[in-house]
Amino acid sequence: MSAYATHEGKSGHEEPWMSAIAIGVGMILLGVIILATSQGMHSFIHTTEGLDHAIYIGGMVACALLVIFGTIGILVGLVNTASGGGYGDDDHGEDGYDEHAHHGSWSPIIMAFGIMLFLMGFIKWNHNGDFGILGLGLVITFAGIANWWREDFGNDGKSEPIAFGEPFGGIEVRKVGMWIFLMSEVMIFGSFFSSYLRLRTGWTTHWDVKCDAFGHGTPCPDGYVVVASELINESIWTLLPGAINTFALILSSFTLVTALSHAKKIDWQKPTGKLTGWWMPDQRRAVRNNLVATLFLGSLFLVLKLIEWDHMMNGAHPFTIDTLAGSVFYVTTGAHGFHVFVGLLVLLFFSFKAQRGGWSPDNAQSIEYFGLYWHFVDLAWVAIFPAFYLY
Amino acid sequence: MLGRKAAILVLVAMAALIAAPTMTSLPTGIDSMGDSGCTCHGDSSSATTIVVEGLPENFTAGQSYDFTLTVVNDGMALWQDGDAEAGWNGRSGGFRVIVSEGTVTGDSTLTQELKGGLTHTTAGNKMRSWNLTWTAPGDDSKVVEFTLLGNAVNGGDSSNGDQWNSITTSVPGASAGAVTSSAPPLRILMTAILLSVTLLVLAVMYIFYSRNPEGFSLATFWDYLKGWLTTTDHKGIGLLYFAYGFFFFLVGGSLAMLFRIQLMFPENDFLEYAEYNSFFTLHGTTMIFLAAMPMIAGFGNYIVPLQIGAQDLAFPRINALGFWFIAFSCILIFTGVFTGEAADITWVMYPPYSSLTGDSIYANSPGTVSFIAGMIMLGASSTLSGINFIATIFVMRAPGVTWMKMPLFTWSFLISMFMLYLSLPALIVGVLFLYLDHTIGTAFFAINAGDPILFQHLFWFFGHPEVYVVIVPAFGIVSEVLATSARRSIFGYKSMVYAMAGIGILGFVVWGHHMLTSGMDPTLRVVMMATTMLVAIPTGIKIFNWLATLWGGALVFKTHTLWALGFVITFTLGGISGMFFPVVGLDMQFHDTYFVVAHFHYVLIGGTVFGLFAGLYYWYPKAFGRKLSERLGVIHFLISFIAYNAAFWPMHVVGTMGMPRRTHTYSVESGYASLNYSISVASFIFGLAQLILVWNLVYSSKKGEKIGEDPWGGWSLEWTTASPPPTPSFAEIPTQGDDNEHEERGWLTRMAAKLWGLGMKKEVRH
Repeated sequence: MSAYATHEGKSGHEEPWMSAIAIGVGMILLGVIILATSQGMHSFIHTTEGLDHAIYIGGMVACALLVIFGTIGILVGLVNTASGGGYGDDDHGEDGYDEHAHHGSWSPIIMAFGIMLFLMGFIKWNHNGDFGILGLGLVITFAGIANWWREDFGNDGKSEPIAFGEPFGGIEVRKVGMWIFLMSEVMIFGSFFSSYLRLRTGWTTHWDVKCDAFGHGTPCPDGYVVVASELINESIWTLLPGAINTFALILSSFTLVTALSHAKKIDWQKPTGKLTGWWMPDQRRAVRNNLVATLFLGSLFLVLKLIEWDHMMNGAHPFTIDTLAGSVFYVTTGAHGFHVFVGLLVLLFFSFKAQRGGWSPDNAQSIEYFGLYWHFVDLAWVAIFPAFYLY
Repeated sequence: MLGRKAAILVLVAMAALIAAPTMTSLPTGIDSMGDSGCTCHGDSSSATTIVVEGLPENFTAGQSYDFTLTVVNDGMALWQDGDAEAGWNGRSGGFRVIVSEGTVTGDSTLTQELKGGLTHTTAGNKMRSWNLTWTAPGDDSKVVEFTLLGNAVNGGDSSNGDQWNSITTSVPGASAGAVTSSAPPLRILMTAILLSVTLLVLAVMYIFYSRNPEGFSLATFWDYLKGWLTTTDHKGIGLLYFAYGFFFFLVGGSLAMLFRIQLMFPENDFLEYAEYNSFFTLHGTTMIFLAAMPMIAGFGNYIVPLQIGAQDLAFPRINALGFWFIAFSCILIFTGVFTGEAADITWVMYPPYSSLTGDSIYANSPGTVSFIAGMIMLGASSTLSGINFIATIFVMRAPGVTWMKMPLFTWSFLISMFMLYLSLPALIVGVLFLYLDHTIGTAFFAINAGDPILFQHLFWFFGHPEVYVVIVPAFGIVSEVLATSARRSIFGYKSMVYAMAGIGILGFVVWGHHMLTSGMDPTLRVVMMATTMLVAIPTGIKIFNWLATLWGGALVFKTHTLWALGFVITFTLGGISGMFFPVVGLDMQFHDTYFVVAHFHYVLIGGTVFGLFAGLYYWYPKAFGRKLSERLGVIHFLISFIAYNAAFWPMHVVGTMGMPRRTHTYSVESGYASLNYSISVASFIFGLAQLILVWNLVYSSKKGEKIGEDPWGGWSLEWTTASPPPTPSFAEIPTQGDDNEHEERGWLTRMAAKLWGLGMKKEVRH
């Protein structure tokens, strides 16, 4: 605990939430700078086909992510400033975090309302380009999430509920819940995979025909569909993102576990190596830097993913979403990307909390439970990548 | 005081009734692709004006009127200044006319009928003025609304640069009153929502006021309301769930009454076929997802933590999130009703009909797409509940509540939640595909490129477990009620648990019997036939266990006992009619006839609803500290039971006669008329009888007989806490003492213990 003593000021409730707003504004500015740079470079490098497009799309996606992160940072700051910086409506501040306290929460009703507006607005937006309801829904949903975070900033892990009775006696309840949740996630991806198998094995399509779609070998019969894996070595811009992404995700699992192990250490000591010492000068920054690295690697995954999608859609052999092959490919990899994105939102919250010195060995198990989800998302990618890209 | 409050409420209700008719008049409001303007040509532009000449001041019934529609735009330059050599494609204008009454026609080479309105053909594209004819409707007491859209086209290679505009005008009939204009659909939607929320708040405010008339103020009322909106307590959420589900049970019932009026007489025209399609779609979805599931979730929320001796669910906030998802999903599901285009894709939502997009005249309306979005929210809600309940039952059982001493209702709920959360992902993914087909243009179920059967597999992989999800908790309730009423423990506790678990497992391998006529491998048909028939075995075990419980007990006839006995009778009948469908040859004949309707209403009303009513009479005293009136309860049961059987039994007969389901009318010659008449009359009686229950719920909450902790002599933990229970529900975690006699060892174990002196220690009991 001694390592935290020097950061008491950081972890208390006294510090105003202006820093969250400042970080948020900084992120949006960085996003705008990246966008401007990439658009500028885009107009210079139009000789190298591929690189040109990659910079163009990559800049836009990176900017979009940073703007979303920044907006949430500002919302968190505003929500906390508005509520006087306390945690929850009532007794969270004094009694600590208690999953069982009957204090009530506004977050569920706000989030559910926001998601309803989002689903409604998404239809409207696709129908006639009207962004109003969609945007409103997103803002309300994020406000609900920000409020949920506010209630959880005070979780010091002192009253973690523990299971009793068989078969899970002695295990934290939230961990059990996470495993049960992951089972339903397995069923979600199982549904995507079984749909894909049904379509791919030719029960209803011509996909099982072995031929050369691009005309170098056996010509393909009529009705044959081009699939993603045939396009994978079309160009470096479809080959490389998948390769880098796989390692980015696996590496991000490592950095997350590193953050966990540093947050869990009771007698933390500064690493002796020169690089590791610079990377982890004290316990707070050791946790924060590793969390931010995870956030960065996850964001990198999404940026590269969209660069790859862009090249598949607009390459020499367009692979579009209005075919069955395209539908199942983009929706399944998109659903995985959505899971990564949700993970990034949690990581953002964790990073904010780490910045304020909010992690201690008592509450670091939250990182572990999120880690279960994050590893699951990695694992899903390890299954999706060979099935959709290589086969 | 009460009289004045009631008078105000009646006045508000009457204002709502007066406002209601304007909600149906939506000639300009239909928000189909194309009706919201020429959106493919960009935004509307005030540079274009539309001139109409020849429409009358007042119309006479049946008369035809010639009129001219002209698009004027002097400021716009034609593409390449109208030089065909340089790329001008010769087009200069387009139009669209929608009328609320009567028909508009024009030269067939220049104009065409499209999606309920008139528009130009390619040939009609080359001019800016069109001569049209409007034939007035036969009733001249109406006001006819005209929506006229005109587009000034520049004839370029894309639709960029075109400038369109629209006007609306109305022509009253000779005997119509003053012209009233109609509001845009969004305003009507918001009005309807605000009106119902206002009514709801007023009603809640009245309840709060009547509790303590002296201490009433807006601030205390807001605190009270805020408590309900932000509650994370399992009892509060349980009551919200039940109230929500019961409200929609009445809504779904009213929809059924409406189409029973339509089916009362052959060739009836009370409902249009489109209205009929929407009504039975909403009836099915409402009853399954917005009525049965929330009512079951209500019981689960309220009773399960009490039965296992837990203070709350494992994740209270997630629980609240699940409720609010389901609460808001109803807006998405019913939006189409307010904008005039309700979903008509049935609760099974089969593509390709449900995935039609684009220019087809059958293309789904935004109301349908939002219905599909509502299904995604329902799926998310139930997944969250499932995770929460499984975690709770696994980790929060009090000392003494071991697996084989857990009350049967908790067991049934655990099994049903397992089935729900493992099967729902398939539905979510299937419905997501459908939603994306409609929005971002994927091709999963498209007619020419997609695979509609895939949706049927995904849907029924969820759909069959789903019907067990709504019936298995009713098994649990009936087991509890019968055992308590027979004043003994349930017969064959272990076999009950294994039978329910067996149904839970079998439920995942029988979905194909819904698709026997969809085009399936004959081998798979036989496999699905065998697995489906296997379900009869665990179900039979349960029915015999209930009968054996009655046999060995001394039965006390309370209202909940009557409902449970009624359940055993009707559910057995429904189970037997269910055994006809897995037989492939019979199913080919019965599929999509009223025989199917009869079967699933026998298991869903006679099973689920009767079971829930038994639970309601049984546990109402626990939640409110007062009994429901037994006298009203018996009347409610007798009328409902007789009317219910009179309504649904004849459906077996019309089904075997061949009457198809999901069809809005039948011919005089078909011979279905007399049976349908009696079905309708009986169903009205059944519907009205539910008002007795509504009155009983309200009346008994104030005037019911007060009770202590355990009015019925139940043995499980929920009867050891006060009625209503405090928050948290138990001051300290209780210990369950009653071992409910199912721990006795069988003769084989006893003999083995004697023979080899294994000396199995008796388990220490508290």
